[in-house]
Amino acid sequence: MHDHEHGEHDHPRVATGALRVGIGGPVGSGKTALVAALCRTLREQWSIGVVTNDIYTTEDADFLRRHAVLPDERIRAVETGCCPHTAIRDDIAANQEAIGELEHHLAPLDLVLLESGGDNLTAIFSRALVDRQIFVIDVAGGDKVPRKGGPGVTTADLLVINKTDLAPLVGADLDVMRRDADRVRDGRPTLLLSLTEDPSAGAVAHWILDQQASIGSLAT
Amino acid sequence: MTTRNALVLLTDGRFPSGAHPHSAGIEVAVARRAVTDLDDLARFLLGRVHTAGLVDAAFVAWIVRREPSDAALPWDDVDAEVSARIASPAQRATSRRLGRQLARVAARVWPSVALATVVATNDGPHHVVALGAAAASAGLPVADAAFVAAHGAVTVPAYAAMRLLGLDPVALQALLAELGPAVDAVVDEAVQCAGDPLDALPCLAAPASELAAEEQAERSPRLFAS
Repeated sequence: MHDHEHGEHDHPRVATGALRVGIGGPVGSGKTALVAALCRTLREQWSIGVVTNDIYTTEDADFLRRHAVLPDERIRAVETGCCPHTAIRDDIAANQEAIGELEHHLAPLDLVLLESGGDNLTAIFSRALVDRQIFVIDVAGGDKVPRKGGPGVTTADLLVINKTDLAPLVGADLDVMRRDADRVRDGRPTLLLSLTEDPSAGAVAHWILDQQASIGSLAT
Repeated sequence: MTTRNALVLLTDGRFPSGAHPHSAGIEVAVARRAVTDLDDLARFLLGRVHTAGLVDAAFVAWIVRREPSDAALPWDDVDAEVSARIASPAQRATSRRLGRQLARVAARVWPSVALATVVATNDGPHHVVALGAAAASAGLPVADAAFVAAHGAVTVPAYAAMRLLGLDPVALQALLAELGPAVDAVVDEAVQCAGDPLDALPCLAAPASELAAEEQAERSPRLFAS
């Protein structure tokens, strides 16, 4: 049953199948809502699988199933035993296995979204696990977060500053957040997002489509 | 000795074989208040090393004593004997999950025919089978290989308990140091068994642990996968 031994175990990862996009960020920043929005926006044109990494139980996977953003068999939950960053960075065996199972049962897949458990600003995905990574923060977490940096904020391929509609309510200055993000991210892109105003997460979906085009050798 | 390096790598909790989200039953023990402090944990670990620890160490020692050799090991028989010793379906599933992950990782670190063979096991090899193949491929002596198994049987629940109960990490290290002679005794016993016929290997069981594994599989919410 394990005929997916190749590729996923090579480092750096060579994209031979689905584009793998990791979505990380602090607890409550809107990772699961973003995954749901991306599934709704992209599921007509792409074959999609999702792996959630819950800190405990299968809360996020259950949310996605309940909202029927994808058929149940396209969503897998990986448990992380108190240590969400370990499962995406230091010991990626369980996530590799979950992605391998999705690719095996649903081949050919175009896109796998891998959602990290909520973590701190230093959490990044291993490059052996994903092709691209998105880090999601939100304005309610404070407008100083981009300035504080950390590998998640500074090195993710895309930084999403979420819940911009809340900015006036929490006294967050979006211009400061964008300027600080640009300063610490060395030219990497940042997107401001409000899923209330754009439930399709159109700009993020567009960015993912661009990544597929730039990586090239993907199944379509 | 090059095997000293392999011994440290295989016993290091950072070895990336997917064991970190497993508690070996300690989460249920904590939830039931059977383990509430370091003294309780000491009793839990002592019981575990003399049951699961000995069975695991004996199988690993048995495999390593015979690998590498010209004749292929009867992997199917080893698999069946291990399965017969794990009463809980949830524990069998966990054993194969951990075995699959360990075998794949070890096959990249210490490539060998034995690891390539066990990686291809239907549903994945049991954890001790993968560990035996990994230890043999890394060139570990029999006693060191058995030590990896017995040590792991103790440290996996120990570190999970530290996280669940907020135990003093230094006191935990002192406890693990105190358990050293118990682990060594289990290793000695496992090495003695390594020359026995496969079906004569220890078959100790811990029913409370097996029931806990079944309970853990149904728990929600849970922090650990097992």
